[in-house]
Amino acid sequence: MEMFSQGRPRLLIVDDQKNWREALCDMLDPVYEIATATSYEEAKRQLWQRAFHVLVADQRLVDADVTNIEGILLLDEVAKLRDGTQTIIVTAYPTVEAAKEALRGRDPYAYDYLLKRPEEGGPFNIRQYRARVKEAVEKAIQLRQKATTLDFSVSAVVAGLTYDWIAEILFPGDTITHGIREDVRQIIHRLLYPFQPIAPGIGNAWSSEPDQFCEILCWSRGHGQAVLVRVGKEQCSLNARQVEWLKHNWRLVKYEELLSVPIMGVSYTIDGMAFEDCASLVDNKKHGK
Amino acid sequence: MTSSRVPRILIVDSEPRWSQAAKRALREQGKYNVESVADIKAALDFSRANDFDLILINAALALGRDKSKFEEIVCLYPDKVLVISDVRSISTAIKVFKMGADYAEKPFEPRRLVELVANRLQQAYGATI
Repeated sequence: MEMFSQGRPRLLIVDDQKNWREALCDMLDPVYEIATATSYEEAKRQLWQRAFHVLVADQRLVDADVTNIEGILLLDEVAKLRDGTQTIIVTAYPTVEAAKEALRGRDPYAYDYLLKRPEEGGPFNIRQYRARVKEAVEKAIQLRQKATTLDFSVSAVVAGLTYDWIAEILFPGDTITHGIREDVRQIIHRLLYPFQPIAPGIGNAWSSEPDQFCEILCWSRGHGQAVLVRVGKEQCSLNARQVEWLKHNWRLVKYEELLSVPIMGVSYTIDGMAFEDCASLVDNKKHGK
Repeated sequence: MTSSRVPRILIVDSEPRWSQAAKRALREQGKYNVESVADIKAALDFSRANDFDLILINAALALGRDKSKFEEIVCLYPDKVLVISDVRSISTAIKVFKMGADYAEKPFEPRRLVELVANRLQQAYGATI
């Protein structure tokens, strides 16, 4: 299943200047899967759509604006992701204040602040850049392996929401288009990235149909945290109040908590079986009951 | 720290004239308890045995051969270590921030040092100091 595969380390390289953006990509070994962005908004969007190991961002993302530090502001987004993504800021306009903003109090996601023009003179230090990216990727992998200790309180999860309901929460006021539904699908992908599926074969029932429910059952084993997005085409007896409850409880729940969530045990049944018995649900699924 | 306690400051610098001048300027304020040592090893011993509210460390000492001892001090006093650099250096500042400490340029005038210390303590503890 794609969302859980390790694959090549993924980098997001953000620079408004084409020559630097290309150079920052070309200087690296071809072992990385690299995405690029030219602006703060584009980078922010990509960060929420896919999981990256490392974000390399130029500090000033609008060249004409000398006060611009949007590259550093991207760290606020990375902070919200809380998935171990590491950040390296690069800049031709370093200041002590900007470096402080990029590094202080930003553990564990700020990795380094590199100078495009080194203080001691000479060209950009390619060897240092390569080494830092490599180390940052290693740190991201390490953090992801113990991901649950990072407190994934990011808005994770839910039972019984359609894509459109989720879209309403994430993009309030927007008209829900196919593009937004696709974004939602990607976001859920990304949220689930650090988790393991409860059982093989579960978790791939994706669809962007407006009334189609998605079905994912994932469980970070041994840490008591579960991600559960259960849904399906079949009738489910959610009333308006329950839908509201779900909207307000859009978050990661502990496995034990999950079992006590009223909507699952009481109102929600799958194949005629109450939802509270998560493990037997999985077993039944496996055996095709 | 409670507002009734006198803030304790440790100055770590191998340049005795600066240390003495800094100590004198701060003591003249009449509201700080100021100590000074000349190397990182002594600073670590001192910081283990005492409870400081602010530790000012010369950058050359902090990032010199006793860097690991400096890191121990930062661990003991998170958010209370201010590295003072003789020259403005962005590379030094980056190293210091990455190690979890704060950075400032060494003030030439004692008055500026007093302001710097007062600001730091105010940031850390609010307006009570």
